[in-house]
Amino acid sequence: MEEIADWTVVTIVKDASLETIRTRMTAGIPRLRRFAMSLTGNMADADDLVQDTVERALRNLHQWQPDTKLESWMFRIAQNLWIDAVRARKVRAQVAADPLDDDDVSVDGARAMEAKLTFADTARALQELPEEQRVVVSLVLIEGVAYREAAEILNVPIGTVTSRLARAREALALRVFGKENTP
Amino acid sequence: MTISDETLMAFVDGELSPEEMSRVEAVLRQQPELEAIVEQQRALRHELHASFASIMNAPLPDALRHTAMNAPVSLQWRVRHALRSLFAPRALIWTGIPAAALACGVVVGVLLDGGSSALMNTQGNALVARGSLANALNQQLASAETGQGPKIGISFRDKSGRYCRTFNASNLAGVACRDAASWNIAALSESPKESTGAYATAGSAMPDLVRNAVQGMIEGSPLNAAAEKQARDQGWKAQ
Repeated sequence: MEEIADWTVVTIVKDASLETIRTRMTAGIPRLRRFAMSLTGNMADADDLVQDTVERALRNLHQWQPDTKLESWMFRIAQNLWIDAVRARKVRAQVAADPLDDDDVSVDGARAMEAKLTFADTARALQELPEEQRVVVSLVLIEGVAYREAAEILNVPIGTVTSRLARAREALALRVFGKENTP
Repeated sequence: MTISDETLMAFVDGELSPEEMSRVEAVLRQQPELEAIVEQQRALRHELHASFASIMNAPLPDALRHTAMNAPVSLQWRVRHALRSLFAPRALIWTGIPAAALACGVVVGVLLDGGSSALMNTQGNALVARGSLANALNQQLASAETGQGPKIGISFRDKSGRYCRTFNASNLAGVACRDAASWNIAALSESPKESTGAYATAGSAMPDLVRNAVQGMIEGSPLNAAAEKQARDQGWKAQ
């Protein structure tokens, strides 16, 4: 290895090729879209967020630690961009919602509840959560991410994940099932 | 026996240890109202997941695919990657571009490809500063406050009498030494991150690799402000 005689030797980890990384990013876009959709509440904003996330990820690719999951890192970028955008605009997605009628919710078993639930109910209830709770619900309940991984993505202690999740779920249950059968 | 909301939710999500799962199951058998909450939350989780499932199978918008496959990649990553590809597991300081690198053309391509990369160019067997980096090395005093452009660290003379200066530019840090007509890059490394945020900016800190290179090259002490200014005014001619 004479040709490297002029080089100071340090130990480094070999990167995946750019082609591989781009392909993995492309393969990860459906999940990223689903995550973005659950955050933004509509497909157009979701795709804008995914677009920004992918561009940001490539522009800051040197900040990705190759020994960590690329997908988790991109979720993190997406949620940071989203929280920043929400804070910057100081708006919350306003979804016109009729108050659910507590009286017509049947609570005598899971089957009845599942039958009662609709996309409109759950998606609307999700949109009404505070952003920080919605992000946790999206990661854990929709994306199926483990608590520990969610904590890493959000850069918060795991206890924060569990407490936000508990509060969010209580609010969702209240919203979707009505008051009578919630703690 | 009471169970916190957090524990109950962790039970639903399968996040408890086997022992804790058994404990919660035992409690649930005693308390049907908790069982009902668990069923509610299972239904909620199922329904939320189902509500967004269709997106997974939707056709991918061409614009997103195009972005993922074509959007620009950070210069810092490309430089690092090119160096790693060539020399892994060895890197990153050089005192001349090895013939193998030139033959591959990878380093050259990386450094010439894209806007901010016009900071350096190959010249024969050397890598030389150009553009805003060359201007900064020529003109900028270490004390100068600069905004976005390259920053100069210290100036010194090496063992052959050449003037050398450390710099930070575009997330790279290095040492350049003045020959007759140009600044040769004698060492190059990534800048250390100055913040842990997602969007760290180029800093002025000197990476260990660069510091070690300086220590191996320097003759005497770094120039003080007056000597630096004098050397600049005399065109950085070797002594």
